[in-house]
Amino acid sequence: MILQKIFLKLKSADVADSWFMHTSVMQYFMKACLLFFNYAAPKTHLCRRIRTGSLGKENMIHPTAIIDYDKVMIGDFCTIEKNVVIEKNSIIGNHVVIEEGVVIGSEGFELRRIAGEIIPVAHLGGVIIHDNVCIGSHTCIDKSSLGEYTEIGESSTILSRVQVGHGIKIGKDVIVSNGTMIGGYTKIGDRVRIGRHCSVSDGISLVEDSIIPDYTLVTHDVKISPRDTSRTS
Amino acid sequence: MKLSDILSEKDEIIRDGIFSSMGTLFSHYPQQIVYALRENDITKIAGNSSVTCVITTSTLVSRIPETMGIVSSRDPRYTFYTLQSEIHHHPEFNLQPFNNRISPSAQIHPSAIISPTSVEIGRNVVIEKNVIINEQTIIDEGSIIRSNSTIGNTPLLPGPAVHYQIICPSGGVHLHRDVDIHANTCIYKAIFKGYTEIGEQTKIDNLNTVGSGTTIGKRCLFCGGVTVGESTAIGDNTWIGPNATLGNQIQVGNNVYITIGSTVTHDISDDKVVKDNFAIDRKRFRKVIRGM
Repeated sequence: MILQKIFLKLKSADVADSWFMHTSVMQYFMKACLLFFNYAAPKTHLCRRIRTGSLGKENMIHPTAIIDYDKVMIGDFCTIEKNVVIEKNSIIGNHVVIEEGVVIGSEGFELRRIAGEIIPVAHLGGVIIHDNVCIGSHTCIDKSSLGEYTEIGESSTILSRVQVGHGIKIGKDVIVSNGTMIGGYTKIGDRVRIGRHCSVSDGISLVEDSIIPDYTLVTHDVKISPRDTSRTS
Repeated sequence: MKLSDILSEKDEIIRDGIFSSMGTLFSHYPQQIVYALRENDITKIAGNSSVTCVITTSTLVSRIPETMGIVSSRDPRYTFYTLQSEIHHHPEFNLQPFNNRISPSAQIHPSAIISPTSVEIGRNVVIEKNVIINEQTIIDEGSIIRSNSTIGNTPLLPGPAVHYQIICPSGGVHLHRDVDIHANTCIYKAIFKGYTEIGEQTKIDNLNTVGSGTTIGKRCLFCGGVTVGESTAIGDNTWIGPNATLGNQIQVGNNVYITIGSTVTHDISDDKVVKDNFAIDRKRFRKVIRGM
């Protein structure tokens, strides 16, 4: 927990832009820390989220789907279509529908530019998909970077060609339409509707019941709920 | 090769010329033949020193420089692509096939489909599930290609292709050292002799599309859902945000920062920030962000 707080503090824009972090000594120190983290962290208990996998009853799984059965937990009555890839540390609930070409639990896109090089951060988390979720074809859901989970809440619908980045928390009854890209660590409240081809920036939060129309860029927090009648006067 | 050796009698050769490669107005292959449709294209031909032959319409013939060979045609683009499909077997205009060279230290998942000829895979390359790798692909050491991606797609004809033949691409794809390509990404192979190149340490996120003949520099970062058009050149250290779109035949400089959801339709010089559809200085952009 303390490590996580330090990590989030270092990630904030004020610290990252300061002159102190751009001195060459600090850059090489950060590079050494990150390389050590990437080397050591996958060997610790942090990475082994799920020891033994499980498979429920009456699932319809197509033979071309590739699932890491040893480290994936799948509930009952799920439908998994052709060419689906489910990587390790994924938890899937009951009555989930996953359409063709979906990739769940692949590596996230979190990288650091340190000392003139690009160094990726090792991702140790996983993905939780709750009950009654539908996921459209060719959607990508990345796993979280620290020991957290990317979550998709109950009864949510995600249509085709959507990118759900690392560490995202999606609430209940959310609809995300086709072609939408959602950046990392964004929090989406309950009953939010996101239109087609939207772009949602990283690290922001959308309040519950908000509606985002098609082709919108969301770069700041959405704080006022449409159902909040106290403010509309 | 001479123009009069190949072209049929239907096409009118106004001045004979020598060419050794085919290309677009923005490419720099040696002694290339191009096609010109509009008056704008004539200024681009004058600025490109490697053009030696031009296929164009009868109205634009008089404005082309005297050193170049000229073919006049009713539909220059149709003539150009029929010429391409006729000579793409010629060794001068095509990358030659070779036996597969796959390093024993490469980790390739059994469900990946790799072409039986003309693929080179270097040391410590990781190829994950359901990846498709087509002919004329070179992958250097340390690269990672994640699930459901396709490398070396056959490009479709730009523009309306109702009565055109399917083109036969004669190029390939070259991924340099430590390139990371995430899930569900497509990378098209080049139409002409040459490679779609992705520079070293470049990282490309999910659901991207990279068009044919595009060259991407070193240490670039592409977020999710980026679409890059054909024959575009992108410099080093560029960052491209989610859902951005880059058009065809654009030159983007070094250290450029293209924000979320932008559309780029013009050339961009070094150290600029593109916001929506405009480019501003990168230092000025930081002041704008801090003022918010």
